[in-house]
Amino acid sequence: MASSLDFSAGVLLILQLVVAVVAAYTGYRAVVIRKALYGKLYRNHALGVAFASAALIWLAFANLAPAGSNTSSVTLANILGPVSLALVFIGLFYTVDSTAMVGRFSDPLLRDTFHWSRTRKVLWAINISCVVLTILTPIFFLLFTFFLPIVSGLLLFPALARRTGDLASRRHLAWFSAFYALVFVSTFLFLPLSTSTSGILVTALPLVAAAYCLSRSTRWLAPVNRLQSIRPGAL
Amino acid sequence: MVSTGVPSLDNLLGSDGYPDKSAILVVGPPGIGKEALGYWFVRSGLIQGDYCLYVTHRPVTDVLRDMKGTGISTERVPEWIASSGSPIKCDLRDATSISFNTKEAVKRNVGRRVRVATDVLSPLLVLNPLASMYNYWSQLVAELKQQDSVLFALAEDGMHPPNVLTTVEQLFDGVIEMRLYEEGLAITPLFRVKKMLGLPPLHGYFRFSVTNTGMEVVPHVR
Repeated sequence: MASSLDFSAGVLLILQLVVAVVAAYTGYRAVVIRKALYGKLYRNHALGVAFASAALIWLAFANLAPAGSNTSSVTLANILGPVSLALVFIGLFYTVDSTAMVGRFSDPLLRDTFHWSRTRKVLWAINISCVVLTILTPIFFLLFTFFLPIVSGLLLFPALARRTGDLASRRHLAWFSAFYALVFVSTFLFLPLSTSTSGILVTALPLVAAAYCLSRSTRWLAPVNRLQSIRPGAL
Repeated sequence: MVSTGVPSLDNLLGSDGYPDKSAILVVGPPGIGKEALGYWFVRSGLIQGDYCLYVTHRPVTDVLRDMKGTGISTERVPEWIASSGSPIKCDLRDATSISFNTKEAVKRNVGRRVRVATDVLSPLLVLNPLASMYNYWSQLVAELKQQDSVLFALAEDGMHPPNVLTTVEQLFDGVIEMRLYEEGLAITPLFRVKKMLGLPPLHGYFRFSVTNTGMEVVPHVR
C-alpha cells in the first residue's frame, strides 16, 4: 500500500514538475515578448499570458498533493489560503480581459464581442467584490471567483478566434481556448476526485495538457522570426 | 522631402525623410510600434503647417488616447475620417466612400503639402478580393500623388499571406518592415527599409526602441 502510494506520489511529482517547467518557460517567453513590444494593449496581453503561466504553476502545486500522504493537510492552498487562490483567478481574469481587448483589434471590423468593453467593467466589479467577500465568507464566493474567469474565457476566446483576421492571433486564441478548457476540466474534476491519489493523478493530466496548450498559444502570441533566416550579407 | 517625425529615421533615409509625392507602407505585427511611426509622421506635419488627414477604422477617441500614450500632444490634431467621432465616417463596408472622401479632402487643400496616414489597408484587404483592392489602392495612390502629398499606410503582417503583401508592396514607393527576431533567448524588434524611392537598396537591419520621446534607430550587429 505504502509503495503504491510512493509510486503515485512520484508520478504526481513528475507531472507537477513537467507543468512547472513548461509553464515557467512559457511565462518567461511571454515576458520577453512583452519587453520587445511597444503597444500598451499588446504588452498587457503578454503580461496576462505570463499571469496565466504563474496561475498554472500555482494550480499544479497548490491543489495537487497525494491523498492520504502527510502533506495532504498542509498543501500550499491550505497554507496560503483562499485569498491567494482568488488572486490567481483574478490574474486569469486579467488575462481574459487583455486577450479580449487585443482580439477586438485583430478583428478587421473591430467588433465588440459580447459587448466586452462594457461587460468587462461589471465583471471586474464582481471579481473584486468576490475577492473581498472571500476573506469574510470563503467557500461561496471563492467558487464564484473560481469559475468567472474560466467560463468567460471559454465563451469569449472561440468567438474572438472566429472573428480575428490575423492568422497568428487565431492560432493563439485557439490554443488559449484549449488551455482554459483544460484548466476548467482539471478544476472541475478536482472536486470529486481529490479524495484519492489516483483521482488526483487524473486531475493532474489535464493540467499537463493545459501547459502544452499554453506553450503553443505563446508560440503565436506574436510572430517571431529566426535571426538565422536573415541572409548573412544583410547584416 | 517630408520629415518622418523621427530624426534618427530621417538620417537613415538620407537626412530628409520620405520622398515628396510618395506612398509609404509600414508592415509589421501588431503592437510593434507601426502606429507610433504614423503618429510622429502626422505630428511632424502639424508642426510644419501641412494639411494632415488620418483615415482610420478606429474611433477618434481611441487614436487620441493612443497618441497621448505615445507622448504626442493632442493640442493640434489632424482632420479625421474615422469610424466614430469625426464628421466624415469611415465605413469599411464602403471602400468607395473612403477613397472618395480622402481624395476630396486632399483636393480641398491644393497648394498645401498634404500628409495622409491610414490604417485601413489591412482590413480592406481582408474584406475584399485582392484584385479589386489592387486596383483600388493603385488608383488612390496615383491620384494622391498628383497633389503634393505623402501617403503613409500601415499593414498588419499576420493578416495577409506573403503573396498578398508582396503584391501590395509593389504599389508603394517605400516599404519599411518591422519584425520581431529571436536571437538566443532574447527577442529583438528589428526593422529594415525594403525599398525607398530615390535611395539605393538598404540591406541593413536596424534595432529600434520606441519611447515616448521618439524612436532610436541603430544598426543591428549580430
